[in-house]
Order: sequence, then structure tokens, then C-alpha cells
Amino acid sequence: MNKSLKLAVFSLALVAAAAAVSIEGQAQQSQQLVRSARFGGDGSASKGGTLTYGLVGLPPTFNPFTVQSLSDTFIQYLWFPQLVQFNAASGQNECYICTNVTQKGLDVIFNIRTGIKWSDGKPLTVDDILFSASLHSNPKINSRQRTDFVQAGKDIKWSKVDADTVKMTLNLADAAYLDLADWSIVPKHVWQPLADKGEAAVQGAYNVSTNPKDIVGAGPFLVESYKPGEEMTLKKNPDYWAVDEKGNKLPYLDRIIAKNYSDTNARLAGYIAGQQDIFQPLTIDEVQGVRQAITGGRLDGELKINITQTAVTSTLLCNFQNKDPFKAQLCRSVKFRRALSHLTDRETIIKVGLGGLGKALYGPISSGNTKWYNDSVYVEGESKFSFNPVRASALLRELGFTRKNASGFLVNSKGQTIKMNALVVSTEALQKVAAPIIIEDMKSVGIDASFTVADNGSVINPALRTFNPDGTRNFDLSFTDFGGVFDPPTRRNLYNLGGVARIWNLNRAGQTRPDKLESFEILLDKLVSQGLSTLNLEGRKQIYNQFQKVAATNLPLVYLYTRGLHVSYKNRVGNTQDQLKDPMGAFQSTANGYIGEIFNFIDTAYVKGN
Amino acid sequence: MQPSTNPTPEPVVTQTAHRAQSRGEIVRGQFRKHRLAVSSLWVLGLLYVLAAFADFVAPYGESESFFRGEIDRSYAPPTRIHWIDPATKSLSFPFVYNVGSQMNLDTLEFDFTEDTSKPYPIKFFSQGTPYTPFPINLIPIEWRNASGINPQINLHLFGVDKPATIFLWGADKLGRDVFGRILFGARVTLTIGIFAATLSLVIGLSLGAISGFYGGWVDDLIMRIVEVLATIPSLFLLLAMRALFPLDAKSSVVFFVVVLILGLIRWGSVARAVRGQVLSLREEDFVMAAKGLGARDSRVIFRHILPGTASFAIVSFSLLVPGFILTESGLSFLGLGISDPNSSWGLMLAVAQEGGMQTFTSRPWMLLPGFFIFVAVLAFNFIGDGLRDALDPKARR
Repeated sequence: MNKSLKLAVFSLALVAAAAAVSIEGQAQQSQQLVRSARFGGDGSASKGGTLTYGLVGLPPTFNPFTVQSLSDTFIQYLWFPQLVQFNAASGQNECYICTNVTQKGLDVIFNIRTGIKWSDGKPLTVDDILFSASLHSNPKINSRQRTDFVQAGKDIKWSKVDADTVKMTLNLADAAYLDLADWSIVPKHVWQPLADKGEAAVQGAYNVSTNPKDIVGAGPFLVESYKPGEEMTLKKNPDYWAVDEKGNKLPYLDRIIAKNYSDTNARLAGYIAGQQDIFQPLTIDEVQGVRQAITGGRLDGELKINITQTAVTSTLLCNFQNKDPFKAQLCRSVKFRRALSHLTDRETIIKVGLGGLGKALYGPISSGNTKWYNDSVYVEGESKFSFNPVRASALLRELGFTRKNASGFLVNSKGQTIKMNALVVSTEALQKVAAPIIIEDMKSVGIDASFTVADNGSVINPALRTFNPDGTRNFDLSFTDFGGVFDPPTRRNLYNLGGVARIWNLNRAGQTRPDKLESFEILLDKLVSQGLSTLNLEGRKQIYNQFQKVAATNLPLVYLYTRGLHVSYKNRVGNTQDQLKDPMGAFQSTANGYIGEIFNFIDTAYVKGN
Repeated sequence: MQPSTNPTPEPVVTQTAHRAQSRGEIVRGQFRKHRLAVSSLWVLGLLYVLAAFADFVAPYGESESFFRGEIDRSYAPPTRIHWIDPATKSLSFPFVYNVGSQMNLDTLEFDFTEDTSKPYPIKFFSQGTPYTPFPINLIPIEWRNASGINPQINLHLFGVDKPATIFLWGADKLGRDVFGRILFGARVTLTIGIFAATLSLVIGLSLGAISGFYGGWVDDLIMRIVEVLATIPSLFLLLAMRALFPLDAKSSVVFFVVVLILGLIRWGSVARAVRGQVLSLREEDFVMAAKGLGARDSRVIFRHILPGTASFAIVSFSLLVPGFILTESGLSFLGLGISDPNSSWGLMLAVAQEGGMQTFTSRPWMLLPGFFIFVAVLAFNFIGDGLRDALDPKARR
């Protein structure tokens, strides 16, 4: 009797607890993320289907702390959530895990969405966020996003305010501060035991041999299977916490399959043979291949050409730290760099190398970046130096190269010729077209120019980055492509004096700036810092206008061209069109790498008939 | 004997011929019976001659390109040569038309159409890009300049007046003549194989013979070196080596050195095989006799033993060459060998590969260097076969 009473009380308590949980659950419903119909997802569209796309090389890891490439990071964002995510439609970072962001001075406060569950059923909490931040910022773990946690050489502080609020304390104002909250969040209850074992255990976890069932995530998709060298399958997360405007649960798709291909040719052949639903042609050959398959009736799909320009800016740079002081001095002379720009027949390179699908570039920002690119700052002769060999010869004459020797090369009063060799990366087909064209024009005005095509990993990169004991480096010119970003419009490591990508005038290990700087470099550094520390949009626009002008006038890099962005997808893929027509979203997608293409509309895309 | 009806008695002649035939004559006679080998020899001979006189035979220079302005020939198809005069409908001197290109929006490619308003007759022994004739161009340019012997001539086998162009086998992306570049490329591809194979063979024969002749610790040492060399992954070695060269070193120089190094590490298999033969040869009576007569070791090895391996050496040489040709193609394909603006068959094939499917569907002429690699390798192999049969007394026909 006593026993049964106890049992009854206990069951009552259980029921009450369950009720309490369900009420809490309902409260959480209101915190669902609503993905608007911006991609055509009006809630009445078809749902379901499997979307297949091709990769050359599957992601080498599931671990967000050891992942190396940007495109692999973006694949992980399908199952690891972030505080903020880029919205292609609005062109800015917006709340994803957070519901609201407020800034008070250097404090940035994030209110966290409640009711988000990890795929193992445990709730996502503020502790998970802080724990993930501590792992990303740990220098011994060396996450590729560690730079998001350092500002002015000091760590950015992340702290808990209450159960639903976290705070980021900046060291100095940063207009693109939401960029710094854009990293994978992992479940603390899974990763804490690993962190307790040390950094090596964290780095060793979640490799591709991990059983997909053991990967705990909270994004729209979860890993279902991984067959090395073949394919990776992601399945819909039934507990995903985003809905469309009509309250339908997202994502619409049931599955995503990433198929592996041995090379880009095989991937193109696979797309045309119908093995993939979406494809991003990168070269003119791929564009032609897809176009001919569609016009020939072999492929039921769409090809959108030149939606916008990609974020990648291609350049020719001259080594300010050349071991030959005469050449270093030439490279440091703005007249010489302008002469190089005048010797670059961009239109021909674009026609021959890109079949016309590209745009000439005269400054540091791709014209695809519509938020910041400003065409009016480029004035021929002042901040734009287009193809004009006569003008180039005149500039070289001003530098003292007044006559030609017996071999037809320009010489100055000391009898010196301009002997320059340019490095070309053997895997960059477009550089291999640009190099002979530019070198030929350099020769035609009397520069003793040549180029070397070589492997990037073993020859070019070491040559660009190896210093002689006296602080010089052993190359003359280099064709170098720089990946782009959206906001800030230049990579954080390119024009800053301490940047690791500023190959024309590089700081040595342990230094914060190169030994000898030109005044415009200091000005560019100041402008990119101001662009980040100024907070109102109008002020930032003016700063970046000036930045473009200073860079285009002084040409730290001789800017060459940007490629057009093209996308093709089968007609059975739905809800993609708006996004793919949207230049800003498409531009950002290229800044995000290949998967970014799919990533930005993946929640609301569907595939018919499979 | 009836001299009037049978002036030269047939059997007698053959018999005396047999008696007089040297080993070389027998081998040559046997080789001539191997039809494939003989025709291969002719094919290779032709290729070498064309390579030597590429400047003359090709209508344009190695890196002469047409990609901008009025003459834009990026991926121009092979030029059509007309024999029929459209006005008279009769046979005429061969001529070509100028072509113009226009973007085809269905394919996004440039279509070339002939402008039939003016014929451009093909001119034989025409004037064109100046060059230094063979064999003077074998002398490095610095020496030529220093000695003042640098004749330039501009005579070409054939050509047409500009703005028309003549590309027998089409043009590449930069509007360069594929026909000419195949001939120029043959210089690299065909000679490098011979250089490297000779080097491998000389080292392999000498060390193999020493190893087999002396035995003992010398043999052990050499054979262990062979084994160590066999463990070196040559691709990584070459990647590392390329990094050691000055960046602006001429690609042809780098490539030459790289192949020499390949030759230096690939003698192992030759040495092993020769060692085996020498082990049995050194026990032969004639070697014993030479030793007994007090001949020095070097004389015994090089005069008595090594000639015994001659047939092996000749055959392995003819089989090493195609191996090195393929290596050259592979290295250039990987961007380690010859690079633009110079040409080699491997490099040209690499460019074709970059085009992917479009190479097959839109510009198949870009694959021609592959055909030449195929032909050259096959020819060397047939010659190797023919020589082996000719040198093998058991395979006499």
C-alpha cells in the first residue's frame, strides 16, 4: 500500500515534470529562426529530394579545429552552427544561433536562441559557445579561425552574461565585428572529455573514420555516411530549428550527396552525364562544355553566365625586396609599376584566356563587390593605367632608360638593362595565358623579360617567402591571385603592414612590419584600419573609396583581371533562381568557395523527381 | 661447266658470301628482314631530320603567336588548302583564304569563317621569321654572340602572305602553329631520351661489369647502391631538385640537368642485368686465357667481357630511350620539364589535357603530340625488337 502510494506520487511527479518540459518546449518554438522566402521558398513549393554535387577531393576531416580550407569549413557549417551567418540577400552577417546583437562601446552582446537541440538531444547552451571559443582561440590547437580571436595582438575576451547571453569584448572598434563571431560551435558535453586529455586529443578527434552517428551537430543537415574517395552523404536534421515563413520545417531537401571526382575534367563529365544537380564552371572550357551540352539537348539545365565577377583578384607583383638593389629600386618606383600596368593588355588576356568572360581590374576591389567597388575613383592616367605601350615607354624614359643596346633592350646612363623574370604557377591556366602576353609586350618596349612556370608548393611559394640573411628575396616578378572577401573588402592580411599575404614587401618572422616602407603603404595600412574602426556606413564608404584610389594610383600590385562567375544547375532543382541571379549573394558565394554556391540557398532548395 | 649459259654459278656465290660475311653483316641482314623495325628506322630518321630542320620546315617560329588585333588565331582549326580556282573551276596552284572569327553564342566558342574575296597562294621557299640554321644553333647563344658567328636566315619551306596564315594542324590557345611546335618539340623529346639512355647505359655497363667481375665486397657495395637508388622516389627527388635551380634558369637547361640526373639514378637495372651476364662470362675459357696471358683487369673487362654483353646493351638502349621519352612527357605534363614558350610533346599534351573535354569535342588537333609520342615510342620498341632478333643467333631467319 505504502509502496503503491509512493509509486503513484512518483508517477505524478514524472507527469508534472514532463508537462513542464513540454511547456518549455512550446516556449522555445517561438525562438525558431525564420528563413524568409527570399529564395522563392514561399512555403507552397515542392519539398524533398536529394541534391548531388561534385567535389574534387572530399573534406579530409569533420573536425572544425583542424579543417584547413575555406570550402571544407563551409561544408561543416551544414552541421556545426555559428553565432552569425552571412545572408546573401542582405549582404551582411546576421544572427543565426543568436537572436539579437547589441553593441555598447567595445562590448558586443549576443542574445542566444533558446530551444536549439544538438542531434543527441541535449540543449545547445551558452557554455557550448564559450567552450568552442576557448578551443578556437587556443594557440596550441591552432584553428584556422584563431585569427578571429586576436585583435591588435591581444586576445578578444568572450564571457557569459547570463544563461542566454554571451559577450565579446573587443580590444578596439571593428566595423566588421560580426565577422569575428563566424566560427563553428561544438557541443561541450562531447568535446570536454577530449579537451581534458589535451590539445592533441582535440586535434585527433572527428577525423573522417569517425562513425557518422557519433558526430553531434545542430545544423540543417547531419552526416549520414562517408565513403573515402567516393562520396559523402548528408541527411536532413529532423530537429533543425529554422522554418520558412509559413511555418514549414526546413530544410526542404532530404539529402545532399557530395560525390568525389579525381579531377575537374571528370567532374564536368559527371555533370554533363547527369550525375550532379549543380555545377560551377570555373574555366571557359567548362562553360563551353556545359553550354554545348545544354544546346545539344544532352543536359536539361540552365547556365547562368557572368552573374557577377568573382572575389578573386589576379595581380602581377614586383619584389620591393629584390636582392639586386637596382631591381628593388625599380619595383619601388611608382613609374615602373605604372609602366607595367600600361604593358598589360587586359582585354586580350580576358578574350584569349577567359573567352571574354571576365573584367579588367585596375584596383584592389573586384567590381563584383558592389557594396564597396566604386568605378568613379578610376581615372585614366591618374588612378587607372590601361594598356598603352607608348605611355609605358615614356615612363621608362623618365626613369632614365633613354636608349636601346644592340640586343634591342633599354639601357640607362650606367648601361643597366631591366632584366626581370616572372613566376607563374603551373596549375593556374589563366596565368599561363597572361604571362606570355604581358612578357611579350614588356619585351617589345625593351625590357629583358622572361617567365618561369613552376610548381607552387615546391618552387614558387618557397621563392616568394624565403628571405636571404640581409632581408632580401630572390625573385623579380610574380603572378599571384588573391582570394577575396566581402566585408571588409580586402583581406585582413594583405594591406596591413604586418600582413602575411603582402608578398611585394613582406615582414620577416618576428617583425610587425617590413624593414623599408613606402609612404603609400603606410597610408594603405591606415586606411584599412580606419575602414574597420569606423562604424557608420557612409564614413566607411568614403574610407574605402580613398583606399581604392590610393591603391590604384600607387599600384602595390599591378591589378590584372577578375573572372566572371558562372553557375549551372539542372532544371529539376527548385528555389535557386533568385539567389543565383543576385549578384551580391553570388559574389559572396565565391568568396566562400565552391560550396558557398549551394550553401546560401540550401535550406530552401528542393530537387524534383528523385 | 657451261660459262655461256650460266656465267655466275649461284651456289658458289652464296657460299663465298657466307664465308665472307662478318657478324655485322649477318646482323644487318637479319635486321632488314624485320620489316617493322626497318620502317620504324625510317620513321625515326624522318622525325630527327624534321626536328633538326624545324626552323626551315615550320612556317612560323617556335613561339610566334597570333592572338590579337587583326590576326587573331586562338584555337584556329587547320587551315584549308584550296586546289580549285573558284573562278575557272579548274585545278590551280594551292592557295588559302584569310579567316575571321566570331563568337558563336550557342557554343560560346569562336567560329572561323573564310574570307573568299582574296586568295593567298602558298609560297614555297618563302621569307619569314629569321632563325639560326642547324647545326649552328646547337652552339649556345652566348658563345655564338661572343665569337660573332651568328648567321640569321629567314628562308622557310613554305608560307603565305599576311594577314592570311597557314596552320597545317591548327593553332593553340595563343594562336601558335601546332605543326611547327610539334617539330620544335621533337628536338627536346627525341634527343633527351637518347642522352639519358646513353648515360644510364654507360654507367650501368661499367659498374655492372666491375661488380660481376670482382665479386666480393665490390659487388656487395655496388649492388647495395643499386638497391638504395631503387628506393628513391624519383618524382619527389625531381621536385626537390627543381627548387634548387635559380628561378630564371632556362627551362631547357633545367630540363637537361633533370634528365641527366634521371639517367644517373636509372642505371641500376642495367647494372644488375650486366652483372648477371658477367658472372657467367668471367668463367668462360677466353677470359681465363686472357687472364692467364697476364692481361690487366681493365683490359679483360673492357676488351673481353663487355663485348659479350653488346647485344644486351644495344637492345636495352633502344628500350631505354622510349622510357625516357615517356618520362619527359610525364615531367613536362607535371610542369617540371620544358615550359612555355618552349615546346615539347609532353608539354603540348599537358595543355591539351587542361582543356578537358573541349579538347576532344572542339579542337582535336591539340591531341596530335600524343600521336607522335605514340609513334616514336612504338618505333623505338620495334627497333629494339628487331635488334634483339638480329643479334640472337637462335632467332635467325
